[in-house]
Amino acid sequence: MLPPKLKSASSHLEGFGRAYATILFSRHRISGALFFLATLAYPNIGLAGLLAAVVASITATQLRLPNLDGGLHVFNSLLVGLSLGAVYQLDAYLALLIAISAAFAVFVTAATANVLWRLGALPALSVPFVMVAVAAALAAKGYGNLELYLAPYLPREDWFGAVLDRFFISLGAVYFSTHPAAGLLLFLGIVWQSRYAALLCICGYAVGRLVFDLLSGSSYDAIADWNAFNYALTAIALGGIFCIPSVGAFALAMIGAACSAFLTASMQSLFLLHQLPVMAFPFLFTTLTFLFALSLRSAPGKPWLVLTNPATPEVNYERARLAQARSGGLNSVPLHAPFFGTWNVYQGFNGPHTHQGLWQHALDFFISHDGRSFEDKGAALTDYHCFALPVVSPAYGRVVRIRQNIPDNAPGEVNVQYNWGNFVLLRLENGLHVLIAHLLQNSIKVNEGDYVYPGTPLGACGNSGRSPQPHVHMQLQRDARLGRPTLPFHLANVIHFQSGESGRFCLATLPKEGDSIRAADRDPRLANPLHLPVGRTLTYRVEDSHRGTRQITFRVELTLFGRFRLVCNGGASCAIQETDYVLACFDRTGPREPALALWMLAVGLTPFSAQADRWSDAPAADLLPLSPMQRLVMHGLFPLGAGLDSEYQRTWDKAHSVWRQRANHVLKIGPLNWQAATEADLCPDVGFRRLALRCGTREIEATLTDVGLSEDAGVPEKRQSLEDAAPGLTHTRDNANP
Amino acid sequence: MTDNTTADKPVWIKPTLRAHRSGLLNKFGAVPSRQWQDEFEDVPVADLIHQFGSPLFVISEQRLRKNVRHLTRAFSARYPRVQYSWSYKTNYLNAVCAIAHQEGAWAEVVSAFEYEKARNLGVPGEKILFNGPHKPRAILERAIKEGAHIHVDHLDELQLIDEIARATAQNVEITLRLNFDTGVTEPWSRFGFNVESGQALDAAWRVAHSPNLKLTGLHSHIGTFVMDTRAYRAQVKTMCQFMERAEKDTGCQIDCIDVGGGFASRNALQGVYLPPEQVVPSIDQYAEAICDTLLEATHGREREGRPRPLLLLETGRAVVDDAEILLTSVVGNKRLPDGRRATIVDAGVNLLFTAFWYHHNVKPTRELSGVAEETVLYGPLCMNIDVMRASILLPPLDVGDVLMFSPVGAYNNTQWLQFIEYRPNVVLVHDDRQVSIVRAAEDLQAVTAQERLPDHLRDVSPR
Repeated sequence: MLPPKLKSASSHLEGFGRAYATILFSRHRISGALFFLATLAYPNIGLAGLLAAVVASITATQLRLPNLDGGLHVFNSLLVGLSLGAVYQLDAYLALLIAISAAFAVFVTAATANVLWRLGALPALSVPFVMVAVAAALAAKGYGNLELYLAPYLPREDWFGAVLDRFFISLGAVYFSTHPAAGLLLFLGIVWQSRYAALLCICGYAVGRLVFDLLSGSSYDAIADWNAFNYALTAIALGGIFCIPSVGAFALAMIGAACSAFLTASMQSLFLLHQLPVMAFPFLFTTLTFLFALSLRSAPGKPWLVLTNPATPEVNYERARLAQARSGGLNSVPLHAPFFGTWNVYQGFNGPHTHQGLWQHALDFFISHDGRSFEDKGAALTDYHCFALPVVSPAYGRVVRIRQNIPDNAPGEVNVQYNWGNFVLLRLENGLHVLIAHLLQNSIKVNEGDYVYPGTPLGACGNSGRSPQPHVHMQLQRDARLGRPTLPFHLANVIHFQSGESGRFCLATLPKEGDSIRAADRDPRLANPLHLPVGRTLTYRVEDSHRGTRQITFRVELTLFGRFRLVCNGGASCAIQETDYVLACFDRTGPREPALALWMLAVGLTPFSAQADRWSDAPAADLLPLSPMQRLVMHGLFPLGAGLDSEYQRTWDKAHSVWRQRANHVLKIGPLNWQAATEADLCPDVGFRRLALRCGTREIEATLTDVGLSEDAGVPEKRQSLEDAAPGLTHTRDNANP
Repeated sequence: MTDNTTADKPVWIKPTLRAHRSGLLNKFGAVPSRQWQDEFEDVPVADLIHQFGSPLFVISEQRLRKNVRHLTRAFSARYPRVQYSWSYKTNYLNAVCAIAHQEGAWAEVVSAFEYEKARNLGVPGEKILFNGPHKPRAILERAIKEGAHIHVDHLDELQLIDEIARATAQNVEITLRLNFDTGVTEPWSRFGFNVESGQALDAAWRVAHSPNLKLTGLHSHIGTFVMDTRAYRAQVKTMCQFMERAEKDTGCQIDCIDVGGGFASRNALQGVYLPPEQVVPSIDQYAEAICDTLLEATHGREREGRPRPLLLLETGRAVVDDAEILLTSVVGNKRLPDGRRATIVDAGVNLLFTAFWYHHNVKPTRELSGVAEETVLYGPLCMNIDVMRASILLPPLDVGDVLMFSPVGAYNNTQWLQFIEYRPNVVLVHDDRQVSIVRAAEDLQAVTAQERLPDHLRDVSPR
């Protein structure tokens, strides 16, 4: 433990590191340190920046401005300081100007960040810097006491060759350190943080440069060299930081780089009149207008924006990949099955009968056995298996319209005058509407205005409207009018039986015609032991064939934004989310902790349904305990990361009274086939009692020893060794292994 | 030799005496069916009798599977958590139980014998509901160890379970059997703990105070052949009220509610004058009564973080009754002094125990000619009570004619008597129409296998 003073000093230092790193979209301390070194290429500039950063840090801390740890307040002032240090000699006068403008930049930052956020969750980026730096530059012209600083420009083409020098110089210009070596350091910092960002950086620079050179007809322009970093920054921001990396996002990034090149030229013409630098203006204007315009799209789509929680391209990609693997299409709305028990799909999306064109996104359900939907002759509606069975709400929402006076058709007949027959129309929390149609006449159990939740009985399956045999029709639409175009949705938390296969639990699935769907139940025997309240501690004895035996404690923490995270005592953590139907782990951060990777692979996505005996998932391939060589190969082949092909199976082990959750995780790269097997024993009393992983010769086994609850004000810490928590446990174990 | 000549001649009709009757349809329902049926599940009756002898029980695998599926579908489409259990006492022939288990049913047993039978069939302990007022210590110990669901009937049993749990240091989850008045059916107060008197809540307290016991289930069985679905609505309501009360008072968490069985089958109860098609509710109607009430009573439980209980069903009769028939042959005819005709068949109440309370459906297996007249069908026993049907309209029958009794799947193969006669073959018609014996006819050795004759009695010649 550090003494409080040292601790606060180290947190300040960390804050500085983050501020230096944030300018190039990094959060990493090492990147920050490299960037700081880069500014010192010209000590006058570097020290001016440092002074501004110190002033800003003190100002922001003393005023307790929000989001202090983001580094936003500090880095804008830092840039202001660098910009002044690049032009004037650092003396007492300049120090005064820097102090004033750095403090001013803090206020401008807090205000601008809030305005931009309200505008549409837009990031402030370095907008405050440009505003204050232009003001400071214009003001400085009138201050006679300032002395011009002439940076000792080095002869060109001495360092890495002309092309590379120009690239590195322009990169260094981000920090006003127009030296190839500084640029190299910055580039290394970017590579350290994200290889994909480095790729975007190079490509964006190249495209912008090409456009600029083609239009200007000259390939040599010192000022343009300095401003070329705008293209690179625009490309990184649009291609990977604020958008999920994809081909579309890459194209967008390149268009942005070209636009910023055009803007750079026009700014130069304008700003040179006043002898002002263009600075980051083209980058800011291009990036913010692109993001704002994209966020105004009526339906979100590719390229996907991540304005609220931006991260490095790799992390963005991994989050999106896992979300896609687990919950289907990113703009598809999850709905529960509108029934209890097992039903069949009569018609799927783009079905042959009526689910076409504007109404392609709809599911029809009925019950069929051995290819027949009825008993006896099928002449009466009551012969049909699904007739008059309850239909339940597929979501949380409000009943906005009902109709129940349409008579049910005789089998084979349809009523095209009232296509939808008797129906219930729900308005969901997200503003969209669900239509459940063809219900039994006078069977509707809810009233307009009622609030319903998944499982609330709505009515009974009937044969009203355009329905030749009893079935339930479900579709999603934008507003409350009948016959509106449909929107995509998928079924959540169901057991999906595809033809000829045994059932498979799906967090999200879109069944096809002929498939069977069973609404998954929530078994408290599974859900209760897996409940992880905030403060819960789980201590495991970890036996690792490569690292020996250790004691690892997982603690459940709740972030400011209401996210639960499972945090190891080494600082590594992953997000955990508990819904009514599953426990899901994702988004690992911090050091590479094998025990956490084991937990994330073995627990991954655990359904609470006792009927769920098979399911699949796609956890990050990064979780496998790979050798450094294997890791290098993987990162080389999948710069953005990859998902594993994980198949889970769960059985009830009677002898030990545990659910045994086994999984096989495979990463196939051409002829290479890396795999790991995990096993988790889920005990109804204490949850995951034992976790094990085998990957080649590596074996890790974690055994739960302690369950506890960390202390809170007025509540002492609680700890219970496993023997006390579940006395029956040891008994069963002894019985099994005498 | 006579083929050519008989075609031209009118068919010989036996002379009959017949009282005047008015009308065909009367206020008590339709006329008795005059139809005949010469096959069962597409297998000719004549072949069955020829191959397996008479009398003969015939079970339809297809019908049984269909019934189990229909029942589970009817309930699981109306309530999110449902588990069906096969009631062993209704028909515990291994083949019947195995079919039910293959369709996903658990086992509901009421004795050490039935428990062992279920285990022997491969049903794991945790899929057995152990009911009944008599569970000897040895079988209780085994059932607890194997994780069976123990349904407690009385305080002494509760005490015994507590003792076993303590002695073996096990945590035992138990279910209390409740009895109460539904206002519709006759209260079965001899089983379980009474709700109205507070006895049941006392028992819940007893469980709560035991460190080894945990109350996780409630069970009740309101009666048998219940034809009024309102009884089930009242039952579920009472059980849910008790569940809320017990959870609130004793801090337990109820995970299953077992509503027992008692659904009527399409069989005509003696003394009920309307035909079963009109008075017996369909499975869907029972399901609607139970699930609607249960959904309403547990409404919002899930939202409060208390899961909805698992609904357990122990339906026997309504599932198996119409999956089995009894074929029996005429052995003789006679005229009773009061003028009625009497026909003696080779199966009696020894085989068809339920003939005591049902008017079974009796169908000839060939087209009979002649005028139907009131007939008494007697069994083969040398006992006055051996009456299969006290009164039925039938045309004259020849010796060797085969009659089909249905439905007979429930309680006959378990309550039948080895009395006077050997018990016959029971055969199963498979899904693919193959027929196999699932219980072989008894012979002298089978019947006397358990007997032990003391040495001094071996010589039966007079001393």
